[in-house]
Amino acid sequence: MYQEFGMKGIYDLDELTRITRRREFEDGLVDLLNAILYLVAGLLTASVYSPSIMLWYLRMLATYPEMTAVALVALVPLLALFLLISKHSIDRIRRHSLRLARGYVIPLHKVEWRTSIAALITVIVWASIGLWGTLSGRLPQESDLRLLVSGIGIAAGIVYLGKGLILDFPRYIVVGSAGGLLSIMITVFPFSFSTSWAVLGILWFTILLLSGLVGFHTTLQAIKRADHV
Amino acid sequence: MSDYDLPTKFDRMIHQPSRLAIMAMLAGCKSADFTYLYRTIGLTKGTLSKHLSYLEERGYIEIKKRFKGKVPNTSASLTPYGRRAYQQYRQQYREFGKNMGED
Repeated sequence: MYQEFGMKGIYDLDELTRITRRREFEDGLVDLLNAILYLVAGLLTASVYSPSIMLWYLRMLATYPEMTAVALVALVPLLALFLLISKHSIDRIRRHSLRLARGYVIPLHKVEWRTSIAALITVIVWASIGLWGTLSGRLPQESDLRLLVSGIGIAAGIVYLGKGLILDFPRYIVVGSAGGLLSIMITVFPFSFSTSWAVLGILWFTILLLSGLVGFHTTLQAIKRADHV
Repeated sequence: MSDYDLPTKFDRMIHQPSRLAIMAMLAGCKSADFTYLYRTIGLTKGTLSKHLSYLEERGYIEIKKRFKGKVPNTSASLTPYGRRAYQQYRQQYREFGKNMGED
């Protein structure tokens, strides 16, 4: 693409724009937050669809009606509060601990439409295959639901892969490929619908946790190296 | 329009390499602080400051100065006009590249 000679060498304009856009994801903090969100979302959805956990909820509701009702109602605002505090904490770490060494960038939060549409189509196609397979008797019972969960995992993989390719960011290419391929596993194993959600949450939690830790470690190393220069 | 009109239509304010780099970096974010631009572009603080002032005077970027505790913090962001101008510049360059057979 366009290159221009700058003070330190050659400037690639598109690369400069990508460097700035990558900054949002480079330090791995967003991945750590998303890892927790995937885990919470996966386990919560699993619990909603799990007959034994639902039974336990109902038993708790019968035994301690007020306390259980308050706990259930408080769950949503608590999650929203957790999200707000986490975002604030990430911003605080970036502003106070990383800013002096790396500078501070307020990201664009640009939505990549092509990637998002590809992800949506994947979910629809995957779920349709499952529905068709189950209705026609070609796939075992609950396969349609498992394929839906798997499709959501693959879609998440596509979003990360797309982001990795657009931003030329190898860590997200690995995250997207690994997450997407491992999500296919959910269709292979005979998990129940509830277990599928838990597996999906734990799977993406693990991948994003690793990605976040790698990103944060790399950032700290880069800061240390810069301090030595 | 002749092919040779294109270079003369380039926005000279953006065409300068250092300012072009600043605009390219700001195109990828809502705003970036001075430390980030300084560490990434590799200009001296004085030169970077001068180019930021040029761009601000002509309405391409907006500069906000504030204190974070006792530490001064300067951040820059593209104005809507600046963002349009940068996109137009890139478009013109692509066309120029095509005419040169380089794209």
